[in-house]
Amino acid sequence: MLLQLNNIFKWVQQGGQRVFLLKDVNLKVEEGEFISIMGPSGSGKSTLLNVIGMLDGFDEGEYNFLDESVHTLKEKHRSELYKQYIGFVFQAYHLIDELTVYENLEMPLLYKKVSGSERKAMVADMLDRFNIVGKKDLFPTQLSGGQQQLVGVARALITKPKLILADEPTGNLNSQQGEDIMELFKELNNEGVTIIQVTHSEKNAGYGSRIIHLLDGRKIEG
Amino acid sequence: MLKYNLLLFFRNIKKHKKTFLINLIGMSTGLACTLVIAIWVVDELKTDMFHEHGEHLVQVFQNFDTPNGIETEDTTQGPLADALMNEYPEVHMVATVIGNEWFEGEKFLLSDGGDHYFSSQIQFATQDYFLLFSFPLVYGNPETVLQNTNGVVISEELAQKLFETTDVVGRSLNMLHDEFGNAYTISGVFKNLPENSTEQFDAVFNLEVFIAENEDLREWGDSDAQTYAVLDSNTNLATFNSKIERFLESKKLGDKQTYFAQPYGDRYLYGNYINGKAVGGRIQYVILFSVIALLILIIACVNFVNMATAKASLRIKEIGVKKSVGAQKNNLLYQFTNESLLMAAISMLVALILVYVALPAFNEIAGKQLRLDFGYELGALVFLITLFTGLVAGFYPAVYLAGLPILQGLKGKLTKTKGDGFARKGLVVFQFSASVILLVAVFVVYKQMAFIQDKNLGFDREYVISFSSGVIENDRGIGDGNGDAKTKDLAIFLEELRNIPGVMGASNFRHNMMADFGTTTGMEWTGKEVGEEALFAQVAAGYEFIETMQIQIAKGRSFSQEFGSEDAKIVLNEAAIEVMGIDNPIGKEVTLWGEQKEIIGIVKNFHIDKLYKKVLPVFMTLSNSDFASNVMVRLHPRSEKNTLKQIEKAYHAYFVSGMPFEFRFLNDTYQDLYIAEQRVASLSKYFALLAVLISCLGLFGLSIFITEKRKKEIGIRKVLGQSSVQIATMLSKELIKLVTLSILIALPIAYVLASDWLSGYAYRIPLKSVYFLLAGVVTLFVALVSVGGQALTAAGKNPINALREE
Repeated sequence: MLLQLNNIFKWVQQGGQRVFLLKDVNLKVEEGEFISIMGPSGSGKSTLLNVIGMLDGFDEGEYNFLDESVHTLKEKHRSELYKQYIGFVFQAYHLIDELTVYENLEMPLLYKKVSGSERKAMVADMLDRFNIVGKKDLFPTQLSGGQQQLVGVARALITKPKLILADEPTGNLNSQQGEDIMELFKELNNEGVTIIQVTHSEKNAGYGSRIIHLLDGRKIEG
Repeated sequence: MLKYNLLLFFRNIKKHKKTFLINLIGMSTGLACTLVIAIWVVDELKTDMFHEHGEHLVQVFQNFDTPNGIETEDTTQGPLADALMNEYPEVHMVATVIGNEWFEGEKFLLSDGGDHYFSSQIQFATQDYFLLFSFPLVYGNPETVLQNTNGVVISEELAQKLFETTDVVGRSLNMLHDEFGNAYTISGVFKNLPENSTEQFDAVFNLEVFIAENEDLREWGDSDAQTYAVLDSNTNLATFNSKIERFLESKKLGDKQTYFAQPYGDRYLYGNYINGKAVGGRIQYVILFSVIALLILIIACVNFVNMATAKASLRIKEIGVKKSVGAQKNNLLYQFTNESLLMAAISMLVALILVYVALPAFNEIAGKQLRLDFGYELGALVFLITLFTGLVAGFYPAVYLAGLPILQGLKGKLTKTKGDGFARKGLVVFQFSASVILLVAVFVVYKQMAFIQDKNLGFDREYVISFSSGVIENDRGIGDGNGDAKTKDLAIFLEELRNIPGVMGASNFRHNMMADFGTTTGMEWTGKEVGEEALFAQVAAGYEFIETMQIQIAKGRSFSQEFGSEDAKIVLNEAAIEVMGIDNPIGKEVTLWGEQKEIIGIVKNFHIDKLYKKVLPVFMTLSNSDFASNVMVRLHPRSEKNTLKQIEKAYHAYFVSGMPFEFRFLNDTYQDLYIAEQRVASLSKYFALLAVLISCLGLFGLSIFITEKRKKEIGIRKVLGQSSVQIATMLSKELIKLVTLSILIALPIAYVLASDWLSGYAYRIPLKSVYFLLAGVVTLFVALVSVGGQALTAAGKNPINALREE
């Protein structure tokens, strides 16, 4: 088992009232799964993904990740944990505009204190694998959306995470580019990487092995 | 990692050129100000600090009890040095000196034996002088150079002037002087004195030469010599001072005076004595300017802080992404601190160029010879200031940016927190308060200086020159040197001067009316109560002095040759009459130093002391001394130049040829009295202006961001029909409110500081509200221009663009 959420509640106070973002969510994810989270706007999809990614906290419940109980960890340990095991892919790519493709890929390794020669090898490997060697000195703004997301996925993968969290990874792409990214995810999943994605598209959800539906912060079956 | 931080830094600069420029201009001007002041402060602190004996080299001061409180003198009794040496084992070495200030600016004429004289500053000292003071000798042995009475030690520069070489030991040197004129043998040559030595002289003669003409110096009743000593290194100065304090009393030599020793190096900065203790002096200016430097630096840092936090919305994505790929808070703290340090370093480079360009002008105003010497000292200064600036400017933004929640970063939205806005507002208020205080200070100091300029002193200081009388041929001093007819000779010369058409009056006077005078309590009058003591200033001058200075006569007459001997006559000023309480004083008698004097005239009050002090009671007697004297001449305003030429001609014709004619306008001497204040005034003018400008630069930067952030709102408002002016007003309102608040905070503080400073002057300007209003209005105006202009530009843009971008 990779991770387990037990009775997760998350709320905000609004005008003296509790507005629930997540309400009693239970989820168990095994290694090697490819899960799609679906639901209308405001149903809590992104919130759930952020909670899983430890980017956001929750108010009640338990969260275990690889035998660590996340809810008891300090911020520093949490970031150690996700730094090691989780890669993020964003809808808006979130590449750093002032850094080149090569530099964007290298950045996560810097924070993991990987040695210089190893970094070189790993970045070269990634560029090779995604067929973007020729683009390594370009800045993100010089790339198409699909290419940017490719870099985004490569950046998420470079630290060899067990889990990839993708928040509408194809949301800003045209259908061809979107399809390419989904194929890539499928491939990665086949190689053993666990993937959880948030998506609006039934078609994209179809690439996964399991679909979770959310409505008003609550998990609904079916 | 560092490489990436650098890359990001430089690429960010490229992207946000405007921000970078605002930061660079603000920070580099701030740093330049700070650096200039720092160099100046270091120079001040180093003055007189190069003597090897350091704090063990002390000068003995004398405290006198006077009716006006304790007065401290740097002159002591001639025999004191030897007595200290004999009495106290901790006294290691002593020297007695008659410094060049004793001669009140009189220059001495030295030649290589020929008739070409160079006017030089000299002093007289006892044998160990060059052992106490570290003025290194190029030729001669410091232990013996002053052994022979006839020996003289001269500077390299003087040696060059006289002999065109410095290896001149054994050569002969002539002095032209009515008292000390003689041929001397050069026994040593000292290196030119460093600029940061307060002692500046060209030659040192043996003190015995001076004593031969002034036997009083051997007496305990005379206080003319400066006494220096080197104490053993384990001596506690306070203990030593308590031992010597009542030395005179214990020896039954006097009971009104006490002694204390002060480290020689402290005299420069701690040269004001109140109640017999050193209580500051130039150190106050050192502190003042250090504070100004710090304020300006902080104002510049505040700009950086505000820009950096305001800019956070632009960088929040980078922060979020970095955190999501595993950056710890520390990594980000490191990155942002690096950035501010780098910014400080780049600004420092620009600042160094600015300082290089501005230093000559600064030297002109400050009366210094500061240079950018790229040594370890300047290096350390530059390094420390840069580090300080980088850390102060970078600390808050780094903590703020690194602490931004990761999700906000990824969503690219920055929710405003209350603390953030408060901090930024507080910083702006601080900036502008400091600027306003500086501005008020400048107005007040300027007004007071102008007041001093225009102040009617009770005599007319314009178009009056003063110069030392010369030496006449039969009084050369070389050989028998016996010419006692000095006063008569001078009277003849004065008569010659008065006959020059452009001369309106001429007289002789020992001093020059510029805060330099003797005082006495030796005045008795009928009605003086037992135990009552009053301090009177003495003016002992020749005939026509009152007329030449244009001092107003209130009653009676001034001294005149028509009335025969005037020795038993006296003229008093109104303040003196008031102190004595004499009705109808003309014709009545007072007793001065035991002699009866008839009051022949009352003059209106005039300022003989600096304007810090109330007008003193003054008595005037006719000068019948043989002292070398100053000659004061009033010139006709219109023929000034021509008259000066004629006076010079008369001078050369009357006195020994080869004597240079050196004169000063009385008004220039007057300006010198307040030179420290004048310098502060003109320097702080620039600093205050810069402080306001840097603050406004920051405000300008802030308003750019505020309008940027509210672009959409501006678009909507325009579409709904608001005019550009209305929108600009709305945009400026918040910042202008802050500036107004700053002014309200600053003015009371400025008022307290200004009245405190002015209270040091007995004669001062009233603190008018207009200075405060003016400072406020100026600040508000500049702030309005920098904010309003930006707001108008933003409001003038086509709203469609702003709305389409969303």
